[in-house]
Amino acid sequence: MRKGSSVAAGLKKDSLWQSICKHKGLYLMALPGFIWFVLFKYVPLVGAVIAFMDYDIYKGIGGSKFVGFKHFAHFFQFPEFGQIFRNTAILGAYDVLIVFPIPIILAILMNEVRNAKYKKAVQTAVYVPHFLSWVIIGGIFTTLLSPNTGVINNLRQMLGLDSIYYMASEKHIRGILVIASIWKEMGWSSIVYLAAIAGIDPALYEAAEIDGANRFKRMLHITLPTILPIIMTMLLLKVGNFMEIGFEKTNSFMNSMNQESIDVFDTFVYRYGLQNLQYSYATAVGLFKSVVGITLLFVSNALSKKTTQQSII
Amino acid sequence: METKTIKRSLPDRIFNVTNLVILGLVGLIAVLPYVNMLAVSLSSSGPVDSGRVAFLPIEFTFENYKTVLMDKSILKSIGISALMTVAGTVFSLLMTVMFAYPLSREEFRLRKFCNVMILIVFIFNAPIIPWYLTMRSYGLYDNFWALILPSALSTYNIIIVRSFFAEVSPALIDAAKVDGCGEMRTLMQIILPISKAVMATVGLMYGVGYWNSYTTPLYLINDRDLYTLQLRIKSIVLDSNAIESMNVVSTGTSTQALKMTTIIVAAIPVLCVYPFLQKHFVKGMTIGSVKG
Repeated sequence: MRKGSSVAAGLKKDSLWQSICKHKGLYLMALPGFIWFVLFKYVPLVGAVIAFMDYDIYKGIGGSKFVGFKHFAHFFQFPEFGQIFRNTAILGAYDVLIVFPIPIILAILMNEVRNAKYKKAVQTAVYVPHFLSWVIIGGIFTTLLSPNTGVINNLRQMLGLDSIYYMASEKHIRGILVIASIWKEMGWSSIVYLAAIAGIDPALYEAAEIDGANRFKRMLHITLPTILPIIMTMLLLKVGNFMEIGFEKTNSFMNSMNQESIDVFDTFVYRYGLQNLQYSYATAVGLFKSVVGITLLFVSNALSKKTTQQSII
Repeated sequence: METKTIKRSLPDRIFNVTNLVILGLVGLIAVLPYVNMLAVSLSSSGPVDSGRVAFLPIEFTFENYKTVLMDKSILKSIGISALMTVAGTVFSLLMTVMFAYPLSREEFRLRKFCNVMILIVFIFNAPIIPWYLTMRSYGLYDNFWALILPSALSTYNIIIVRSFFAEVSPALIDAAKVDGCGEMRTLMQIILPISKAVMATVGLMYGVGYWNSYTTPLYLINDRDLYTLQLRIKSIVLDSNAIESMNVVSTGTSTQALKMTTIIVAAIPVLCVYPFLQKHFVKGMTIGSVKG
């Protein structure tokens, strides 16, 4: 990049050096940001080489022994690997199949509301949780689902049912995560579709109405097809981020009793890296996850370019 | 126009009503958890522990709020989170405009290079453990700077500000130069005053980001005296699960009510700025999607 731009600079106008002399102020201003990106983004990226070492915190990167793919091999043979992979696949699939379509439906329904005040009120209510942290969402769910004093179990008891300790139940915890994801993001994710729907030419609807299409048919044959490209883009983006189940999300719902069902790469890395101090091993796991994630992202980007002529990254 | 209203058929009206009811229910479900939590936080321990509180407080009291807000460790965490949010937002905004401004100017030869540089790490982030070790090697561990410096810049926000600055008429900048303004003064006195809307959007994004940040303090703060509010909530609400399942009876106040009160206290600042958030974030999202 640097070479290309300086060659181009030599052909016309000033050279890079002349430009720096002439616009000293601009270059000085960019310096702090530039240094920040090097120190806080690129140095840690280079530090990922410890995945191929037996990193010793006292010897540093220079003094630690190079061991190749030992940690990766170790991880693939580890019984927990299968479990983490399965959890990631299941939670990711739930995200795509259940969490993803709901904002689309919400946006289409919202668009049919003619009373602006009513629409605004519903929007205001469903956008709020987007701004709360996962820790708070986790806290809300934990307290609402508490076995003795939570409102859900109180209701169950009133109906004569046994109370369930949801947060400790391996059977329920994935479903709870799905519900929490829907609750937190459905409103916010619908904005992008609402904006797309707002751009539809009203003449299309009028023409369809004259042709005798009812509301449902108009939704199906006008609204949906026009927002299909954006749906495709969002879907591919979601698939590209398949590996990102989210550390804050899972960590906020995880405890020793439900761990087996929602343990994913990031929580595993946290346990092994920070709590067991196996730095190299945890880095190898993190790197593996990143590489798979990037591959998915590029594959879905290629798909996106093919289907919608639009790049998602 | 008149024929239209007459034309509205019965199925059409049924659809309308059903739709309104469904959306009303969605809105209600979105809100009910808060109502329950608010009711519990304002009730006495007796009704809470016997599970009688649903959506209205029983035996109304501020006792829970008093207990939470008198707790030294919680107060300290609120202070740390507030300071981190204010100082962090100011610092981040300053860093962002200083970086975004040259990136929006054609005279800046390294423009392309820097754009690619920030985009690469937007897509390929370092694994967290090397990041953690690097932060520690900088001395960013168990101190206040560890809460701010590592999250000082966000590629997304830089792009938003950059796109906004790029729209500023070059004539305005040239005029400032003729008047003898240096680059920094042009930015601060000419550009920023006309960028209030985008500053508000990006400032709110950074502010909410700092207030809600969890992973960074979790990795970089070990000292309980430096716990942010999010870390504190995690430790009192989620990790004391086990205690509750063992039915340990608390003294005086209900643990459930105290947990809910703490959560509400942490959510209140976000809810207070929510009207601004709603307005500016939607704007930010559309800028981002158009220019991103």
